[in-house]
Amino acid sequence: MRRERELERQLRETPIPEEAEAEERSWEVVRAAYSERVPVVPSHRTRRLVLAVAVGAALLALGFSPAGAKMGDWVRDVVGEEDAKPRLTSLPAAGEILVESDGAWIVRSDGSQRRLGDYDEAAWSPRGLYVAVTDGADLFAVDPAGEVRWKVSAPSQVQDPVWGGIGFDTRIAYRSGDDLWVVAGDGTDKRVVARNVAHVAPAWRPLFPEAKVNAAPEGAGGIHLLTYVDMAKQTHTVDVDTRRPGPTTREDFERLSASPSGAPAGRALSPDGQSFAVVRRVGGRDELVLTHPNQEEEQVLFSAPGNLTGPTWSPDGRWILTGWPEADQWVFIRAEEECLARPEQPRCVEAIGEISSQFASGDDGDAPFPRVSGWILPER
Amino acid sequence: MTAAAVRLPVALRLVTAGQSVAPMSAEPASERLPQLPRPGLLRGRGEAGLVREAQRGSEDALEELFRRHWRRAHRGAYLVVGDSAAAEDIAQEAFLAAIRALDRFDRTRPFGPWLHRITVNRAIDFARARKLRRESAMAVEAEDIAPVEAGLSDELMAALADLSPEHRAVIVLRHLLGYTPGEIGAILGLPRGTVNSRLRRALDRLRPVLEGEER
Repeated sequence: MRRERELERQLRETPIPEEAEAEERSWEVVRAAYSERVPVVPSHRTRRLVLAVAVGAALLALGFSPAGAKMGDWVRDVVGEEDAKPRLTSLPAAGEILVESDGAWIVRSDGSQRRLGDYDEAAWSPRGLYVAVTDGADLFAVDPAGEVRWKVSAPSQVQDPVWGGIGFDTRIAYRSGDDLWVVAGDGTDKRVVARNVAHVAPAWRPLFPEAKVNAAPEGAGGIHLLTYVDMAKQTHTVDVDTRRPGPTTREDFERLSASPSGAPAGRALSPDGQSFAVVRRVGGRDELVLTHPNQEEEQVLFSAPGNLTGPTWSPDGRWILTGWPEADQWVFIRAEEECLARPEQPRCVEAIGEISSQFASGDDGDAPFPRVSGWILPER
Repeated sequence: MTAAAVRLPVALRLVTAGQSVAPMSAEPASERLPQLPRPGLLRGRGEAGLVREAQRGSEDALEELFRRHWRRAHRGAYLVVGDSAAAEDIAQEAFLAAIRALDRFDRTRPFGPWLHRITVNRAIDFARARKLRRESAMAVEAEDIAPVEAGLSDELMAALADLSPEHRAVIVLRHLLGYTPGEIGAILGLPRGTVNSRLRRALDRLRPVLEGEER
């Protein structure tokens, strides 16, 4: 496996003479050719939505293999193509999904969608009763019907809101410019807790549900520990109420700053705390892998050319949702034992095609690829 | 409201009318993943949307598609033909072919594999033609892959140059572009078994060099 990785690295990194200049020269040629083209207004037609080869990769690669498996593993088979559903008509598991696309949206389990408004980013409150949304330099709390309950303003654009806490005692952390801010769950007591922070979303401790044992007793309020990364790429944990530093673990660092781009790695712990769903880059494609803490074995659930987003677990831990922007699809992968053991079964993978257009607010049907902000079983 | 929610809050805050809402109780821990930095509008858009916009005449959408795919297509061509100027022509031609076929493109399918199919097949054709020209002219200089740049070791470059264009293509498709053997078979019009055997053979040829690199 190391040999293949070394080969991939060299193929990926070897310099090409005048690569950037070649790109610009070609873009000018392509742009000129495009400007001479007469656009054709596409007609409506029956669309055969394709869940391309990745489904096959998902199904075939379902055999457990040891981490660092030997060379044979890179030659995986693949099934051809399967149809994707043209519309998101229902979710495969109970709960509601919060989506950022052309505005903030909530998708209910029956597939119905509600647009909360023309917001940039969104985050569930811990129990799913409210949503924190951002619009420029403003942070709002809205209810699931989209009604604004309160609003606070920041000096510059609000980004990366994350809502955590316990009992009545919740906090929302967000970035504005280079500063990290916190506001209480009722919109009061806004303050800066750190300056010169990196453009990486903060995360409330515990970062993973298995760390709940470290949280304060239920209903007793508690310590609000927030982990963030500064501009020197150092990871810090701070009690946002006292500003006292808290312990920062290796796990924090990996969670928040392991990715070369500075973005957090796609990683999500299952609701039962028994396994991680991880998106990782292998060559020119992304794999969604199921890993088990303290075990060497891992299982490739899905593999596709290009990038995968997420992953996000369903609240019952039976499904994993990943986005595949290159195919404009959401892919739901069933993570239950019967599918892991017999991946060829139907109903183990559900794909929804042309997903972007389903979150478009305008008539043109165009919207950014929908990013899943959270899948929660609201307590209402 | 759950039992937990009605317990006396430690940090319940005073609320003025119109300013805030009912208490927002919560279970511990946000399970939400940190967010990726938000890209620009087009950079965050799905490919089907970009293709649709490009079909309708949006140069911005076309440029976003070009920027997403150019470098990998160019690199793939370069590693098959070993000539940066030829690779530029091949990748450029692939994009021009894509523009010509844009209105017929099924946007429910990913754009990348479609482009790579054109690019890699053209690169193989180019390398085959050059080899034929070279053999007919009795010119024997090794020029399939020019080992002039750092990055790939001279030994690996030489080993790659020793492979046929078809074998280089499967290496590129598998180990640069990340396709599975089944997908490579679809791109090159080959049975999967043939792809697998070419991959094994090519890696066998490269293995001594790669093992040397590890030491």
